[in-house]
Amino acid sequence: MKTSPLNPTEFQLDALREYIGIGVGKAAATLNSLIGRHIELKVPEISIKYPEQLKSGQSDDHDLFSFVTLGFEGNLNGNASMAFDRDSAKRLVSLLLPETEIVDTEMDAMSESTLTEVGNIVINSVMGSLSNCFSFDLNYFVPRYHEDLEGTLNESKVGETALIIGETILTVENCQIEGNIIIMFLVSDLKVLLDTWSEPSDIKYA
Amino acid sequence: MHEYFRHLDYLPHGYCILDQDMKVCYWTRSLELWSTLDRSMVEGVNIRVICPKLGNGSYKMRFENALKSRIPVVFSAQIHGHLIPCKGEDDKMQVHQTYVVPLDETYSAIVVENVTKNFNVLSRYRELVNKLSIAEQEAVQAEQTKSRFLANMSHEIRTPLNGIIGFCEDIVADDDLKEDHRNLLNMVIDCGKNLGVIINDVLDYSKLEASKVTLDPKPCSIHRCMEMIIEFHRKSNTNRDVTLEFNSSVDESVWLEIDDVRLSQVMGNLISNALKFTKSGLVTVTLSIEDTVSRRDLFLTVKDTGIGMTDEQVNRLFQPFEQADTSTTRNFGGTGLGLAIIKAFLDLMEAEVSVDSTPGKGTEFTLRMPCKESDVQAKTDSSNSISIASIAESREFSGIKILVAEDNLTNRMLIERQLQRLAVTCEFAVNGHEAVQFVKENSYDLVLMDCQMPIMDGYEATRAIRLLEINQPLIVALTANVLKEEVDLCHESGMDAVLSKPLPIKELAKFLQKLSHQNKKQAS
Repeated sequence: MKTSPLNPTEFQLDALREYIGIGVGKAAATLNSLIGRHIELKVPEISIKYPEQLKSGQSDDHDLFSFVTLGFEGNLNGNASMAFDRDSAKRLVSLLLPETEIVDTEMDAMSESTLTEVGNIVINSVMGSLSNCFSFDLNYFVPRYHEDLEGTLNESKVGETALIIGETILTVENCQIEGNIIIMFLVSDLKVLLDTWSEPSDIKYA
Repeated sequence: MHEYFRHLDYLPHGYCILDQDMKVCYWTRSLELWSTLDRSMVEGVNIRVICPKLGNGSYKMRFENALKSRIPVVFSAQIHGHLIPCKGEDDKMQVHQTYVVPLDETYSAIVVENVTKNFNVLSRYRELVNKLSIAEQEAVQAEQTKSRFLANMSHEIRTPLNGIIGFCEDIVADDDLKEDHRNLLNMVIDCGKNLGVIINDVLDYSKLEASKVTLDPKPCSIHRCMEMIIEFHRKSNTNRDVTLEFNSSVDESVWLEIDDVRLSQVMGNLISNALKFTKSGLVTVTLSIEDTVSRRDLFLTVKDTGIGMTDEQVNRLFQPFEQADTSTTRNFGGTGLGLAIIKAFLDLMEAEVSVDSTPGKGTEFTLRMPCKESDVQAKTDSSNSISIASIAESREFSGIKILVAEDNLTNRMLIERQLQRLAVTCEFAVNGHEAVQFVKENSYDLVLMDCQMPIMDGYEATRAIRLLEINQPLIVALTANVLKEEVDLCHESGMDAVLSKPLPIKELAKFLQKLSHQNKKQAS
């Protein structure tokens, strides 16, 4: 069954940006206390895309990405990922743990474990913020580190799945690292969520 | 409840099940082994007692959030090392990747993945890679230091050599000189030139080691090129009991695309070796070209009737610093680099080399290399036909105004005498700064610029001159630095050409002849 396409209004995107922003703000505070250094997290841009768009936009070196994905099920099914290109991922680990030098072009197991924790902190905070807003009743899987976007996207069904994509900028001591928060929902579920914000007066801030 | 979680004992990793009061209600077998805490000791105990970290700061907050929001939390091995303290075999703390996973309304699990082994292997690997990286940096630095040392050494040896050869040539040209004195001086000149060859060998080997040598193929009459090499060795061969023969089946009109400089170096080395190791008899050089369906090959052989070599000596022949017989170091001299260098050149030329030798009977080197015929026939080099006396008589260069920037007194005296013999006068600056002042105040056709000078070096002086709004002179480096980097630096600073020391008078004359022709062309 093909669902009618999503056409989010600017207002709905603003509201989404606001709630995701609250989440990343909490994540930044957690990262600050974890690392003991000043870390800033911002999500300046939010968009809604379809998995097909992401697949077709992939370059030849698309496999050089690091993903931390948290699956969920319950009254909504989907997953939330934090994605970094390989270079950014390595820089992030080096910035967070300056004494750790990643010596290979590959992410090694220990760096993967650090990135999994960072991704986990960001995704948990964002999902926590959205849960507060929409009163989700979800069960979560253990976050996993992986390097293939297709593995995540292939779980989606053409035309039935939509992605909320938040461009994320993480700043550690004047050094900026860019990544993406990707949350995958069924189009029908996302429609219901976005419709919650159909009128400005309906906004319920957490 | 025990029965319910008992299956966890059979799974990989360690599992600690907590109730809603954070009390341990199951502690798997793996955790018993790692922590040395029996299940009976920990069950019913608050996890913060066993794992004090979970009662502090951000750990407390994240742990409680996980239980409240029911979203799993990861504590990475790299950042935290461990949450539940467990000692490893070597008495060091184990390294764990820890997950806090809410299971349902009542129970949560702490999942412990023991990654100590991975962590240790990885740490060792990182340590080794870091060491390798430092070693690589040190090796690169050492290589640069070596190159600088070679450049300096070359400069320091060439500078006095320039004086020795130049002044001897000057004295030898004196008609009133006694014949035995002339012979002795010619020997001094030969010794100086041999020393120059040795310096070139060392520099070539260093460049080949650093893979900085490339071929520069140009159109060349292979027959004429070989004839010139043979002619040179015939003249320099003082042993009248050895005859040097040249047999060629290739016509003078055959022009090939080859690097004649490197080929001359290869053939010169083989011929001088053949002459050196042949007490009496014959050294024969042959040249031929063979065409097959798919390729055209150039064949060159050097055959002597000298001392020859054993198979074992032949095998060591192309190794650097090796000579056929260690006693040859005393009997015949040499650095042992010559054949290693020519082998490297031959590899660049994609040439095959074979050696056939019999002790006491002689040696034959055969080179076979692919060759390409050239469409263009270059003009013949006329430097050997230059007559210094006739140039001086014709006062051909008398109109050329020359400034020489040179700090070394010996070199100043030498270039002055060389120019005098060519009937040219010049002015001198003793450093770069002075040279710039002279150029500002006078008009020169040519500046012969030394590169290493006090106060201001030749590169900086050239850059300064090029900024002047004057009729720009030709600036030519006259330098003992012959490494490619130095030559590049000369061009980058604005010099037009580079002449290397020691500079034979014929080379200088040839250069001035070219300049004079250019000037005449421009004037007409």
